[in-house]
Amino acid sequence: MNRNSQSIVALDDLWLVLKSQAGDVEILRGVNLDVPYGESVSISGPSGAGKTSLMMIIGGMEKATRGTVVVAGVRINESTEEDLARFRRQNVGIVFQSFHLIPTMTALENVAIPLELSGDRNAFDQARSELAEVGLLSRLGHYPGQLSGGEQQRVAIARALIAQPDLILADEPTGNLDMTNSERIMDLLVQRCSDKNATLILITHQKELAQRCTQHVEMSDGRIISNPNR
Amino acid sequence: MFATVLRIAYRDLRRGHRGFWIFLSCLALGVAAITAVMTMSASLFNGIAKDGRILLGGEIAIGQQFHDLTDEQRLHIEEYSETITRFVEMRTLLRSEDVRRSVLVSLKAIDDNYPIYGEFDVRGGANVSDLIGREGDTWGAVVDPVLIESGRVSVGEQVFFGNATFTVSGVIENEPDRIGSTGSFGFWPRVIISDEAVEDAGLLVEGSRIYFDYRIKLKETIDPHVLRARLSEQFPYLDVRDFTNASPDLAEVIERIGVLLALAGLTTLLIGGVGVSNAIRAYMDTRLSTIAILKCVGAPQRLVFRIYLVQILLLSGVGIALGMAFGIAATLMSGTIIENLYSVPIAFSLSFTIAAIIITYGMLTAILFTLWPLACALNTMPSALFRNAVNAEKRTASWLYGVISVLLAVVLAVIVIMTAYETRFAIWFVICVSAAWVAFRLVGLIITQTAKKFGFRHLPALRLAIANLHRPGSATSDIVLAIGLGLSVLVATAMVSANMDEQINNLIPHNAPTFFFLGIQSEQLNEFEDLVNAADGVSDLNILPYIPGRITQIKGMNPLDALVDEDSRWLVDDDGERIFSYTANPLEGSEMIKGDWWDPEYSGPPLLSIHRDVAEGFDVDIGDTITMNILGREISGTVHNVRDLEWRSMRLNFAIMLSPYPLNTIPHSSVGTVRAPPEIDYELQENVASRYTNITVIRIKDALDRVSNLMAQARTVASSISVVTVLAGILVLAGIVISENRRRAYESVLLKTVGASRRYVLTAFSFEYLLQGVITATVAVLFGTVASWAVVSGLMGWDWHLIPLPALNTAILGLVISLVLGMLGILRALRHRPLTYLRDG
Repeated sequence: MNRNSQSIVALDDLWLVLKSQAGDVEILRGVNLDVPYGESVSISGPSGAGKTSLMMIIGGMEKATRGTVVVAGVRINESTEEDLARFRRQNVGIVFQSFHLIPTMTALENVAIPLELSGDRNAFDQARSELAEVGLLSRLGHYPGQLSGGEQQRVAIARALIAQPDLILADEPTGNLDMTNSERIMDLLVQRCSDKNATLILITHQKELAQRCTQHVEMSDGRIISNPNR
Repeated sequence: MFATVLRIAYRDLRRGHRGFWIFLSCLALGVAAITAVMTMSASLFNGIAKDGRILLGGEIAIGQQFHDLTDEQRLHIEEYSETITRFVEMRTLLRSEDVRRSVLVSLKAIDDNYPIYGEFDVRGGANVSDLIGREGDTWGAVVDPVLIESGRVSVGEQVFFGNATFTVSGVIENEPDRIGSTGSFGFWPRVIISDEAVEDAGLLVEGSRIYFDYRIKLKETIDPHVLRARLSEQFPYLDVRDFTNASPDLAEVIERIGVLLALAGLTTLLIGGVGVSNAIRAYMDTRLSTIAILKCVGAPQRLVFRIYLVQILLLSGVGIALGMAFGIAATLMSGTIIENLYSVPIAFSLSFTIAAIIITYGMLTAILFTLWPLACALNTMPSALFRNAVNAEKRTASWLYGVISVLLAVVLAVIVIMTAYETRFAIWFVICVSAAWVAFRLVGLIITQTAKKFGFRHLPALRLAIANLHRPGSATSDIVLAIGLGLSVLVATAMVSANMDEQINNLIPHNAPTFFFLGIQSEQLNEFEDLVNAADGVSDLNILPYIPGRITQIKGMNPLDALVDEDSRWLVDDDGERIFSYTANPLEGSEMIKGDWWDPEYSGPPLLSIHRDVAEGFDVDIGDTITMNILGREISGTVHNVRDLEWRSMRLNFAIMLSPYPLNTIPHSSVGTVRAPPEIDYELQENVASRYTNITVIRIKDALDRVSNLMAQARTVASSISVVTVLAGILVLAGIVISENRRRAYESVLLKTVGASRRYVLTAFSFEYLLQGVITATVAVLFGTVASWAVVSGLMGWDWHLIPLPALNTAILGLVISLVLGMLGILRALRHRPLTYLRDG
């Protein structure tokens, strides 16, 4: 395998083909990508280009039809459901466009949950300091429904980072926010990733946000059409 | 890890308990029904056990029919006894001055020691010995309140038993050992007189159907159980009981009714299970994104499963606790009513075993009905979060959960069968419920598949309604199952009741005789026949010998070993004194199946004519032998023919008839029937009863009235249970309507957005419930009708009649329920403001 051993993400000839009534649909068509540790990579492209599918495969939530996927040293396609759950718990933090906080849990509980799942006894102390880092110390006991969009996304970022993952996947994290909040969230995300030395893969349509990353990948029609590392 | 599971489960429940009341109500209702039935029957047993001495009237009861104990037997008993009371019981006619008020009663003549245990209370608190003593030429008699309330007698009135005159001197308030009475004496209204009075009236005729009863309080050193066993062995023809088995008949009745009601309760629980399943599906729908998020942050599927299983178990625990509390409350409340109505002692009891059975039923049902929706929800892919497609995913579960569900159902069925009093009945119940379940599911499937084929292009409202019947996630199948099962039970109950009413009120009186005469002595026969035939308009006087005995061998085997059909066990049961008869000529109303009748002049070794139940029940054919013990004599007969007959015609007939010899050489009494026109029937009754004090005259109409009353009470219980099953169905429907509220509200908003009026939306949705209601009610009527046919003609062996009115009423009820609940849901959905949905949507 001709890949940099320092890569956190190494994709080789990655294909994703989904079956539908109208016939097979090729979502990803031979994607190759290396993301070195500590880098930040933005992915952009038109709708249907395969960005989200690519991110799902990297996060271990979708299995590639063929090709090799190695993330943080884990061969994703060869892992069981149980292994993938452990992989996500230890290696990946995800930030969604629609925040996806658990509505029945407070901000503190939402952030603590990845550590709780790992059996960490200090989950709540760490969640408290993580929320303090994102400026939400006064909102610990609030439920998602009682928080603004910006605040919810900050809780989501704290949750993504609390387990000290090597990789943060962010899918249009500012897509549901206004301009001011977008900038604040992006500052926070980049800053926190840098503080924790985490690799960031960011899907975005906004050029300004994409430019804040160290690498930029352009996708179209299931392929990477521009990648400075290739 | 378990602590984490509990913590997350608690957090998730804390704010997300909307819709749980349906889950809790459905489970609680079913558990309450089972709890009420099981605790009531346990409380009755407990009451009987606690008051055993009072109910029996002593520690030991000894009695026999026809003859009093011998002096030797009496002396033997006295050795063990501290106190003895003796009374006699018989059915006899209470004759009034106005013959139309004469009535058959259960007469009990008591001595001064009665009762040894408990208190005999008379209204007004008078002393019973004073009330039944002699005053001049008349004796006192205290009577059952029923006789006063029905206007048959009044206090102070003169009445007659045999040759003596009595004054009604009081009304019984409490006869402590009434339910411990022997045989059917409890069936007729009670009258109590003194033992001297019964002799004076000339009612103690040797060989009459009189029961001589002794109640004994033992010396302290004597163990009642040991003595009972010894006496039973020593005097096998005496009926010996001890206080731990005060009323075996009542115990059996309670046991049988208890089983029936428990199965009905279980049906309610199963219907409730559909509601539980729906409630959990609706709840899990609100938890799909949580599940996806948990998976995204690294929670393994096993952990997520445990989180929601813990929630379901917690909720089930609450539902079961609520149901048990309601069930116990129902027992306590209805217990007082039953105690007062039937003078049956009730001592509340909830044993560990019963509680364990109820909890097992509740938990198994809850898990059985929630496992599949839970497993389906767990299959939510975390990747769906990326596309906001959590709710749009089509989910199914691993086949393993299907297998586990089937296994749970099997375990539930096995427990039902193992804990039932009658295994065979329980097996049938399980088969019928499973068949009904599959059938209703099939009907649901047929409806949804058929609905797909209809377009109604030019009737958009109807098209929408039909589309809702088959759209993905449609609850049509569940509604058909839950409401359909409940309504089917209601239809079946109503149809069985209507058929029984028809049989009793219409059919039997047309064909049946007017009177039964019991205890006609041989020397009275000719004169009795002359007396009856002399009355104007009487017809069909039919008299047959009445000879008690037991079957001791069938085909040379112990009768129980020869038994092949449990339905015929009654012929050879332990308590099984059966009645045999003989005749030279063929019996009227019998249909010969095999063989022919013997020659009227035949006087050789006994030949037997047996009913087909005997032939089939013991695999007996022509040429086989049956041996009977009649008055201590072993008589063997050869089967000569097999016949069928309609018991319901009430013609005189017996399961085993013999050729005359040698029974015609043994002293015996006879039994007779006669038809008499209404103008002379009371006169005939008076003539026979006043002339023959030993002959019991049973007026069929009075007996039927008593049966009708008992049936009415049974019907009330059956109706209440079937109403509970329908209530469970309604709860399920209510749950479905509520869980669909958001979808309906969204659809109605969209329809309004494109220009539909409120009325249009209401009409379109109403069509859906109307269609569902019509189809469900039709299917329920069909199933209920078939079930009633099976019960009436299969179990009861009667002719079944299609009586459409109760079925129609139930169908209308089903329609109304479906429409009203549906409309309420629609109106609720229409109240939502479009803005809310369009902004969210």
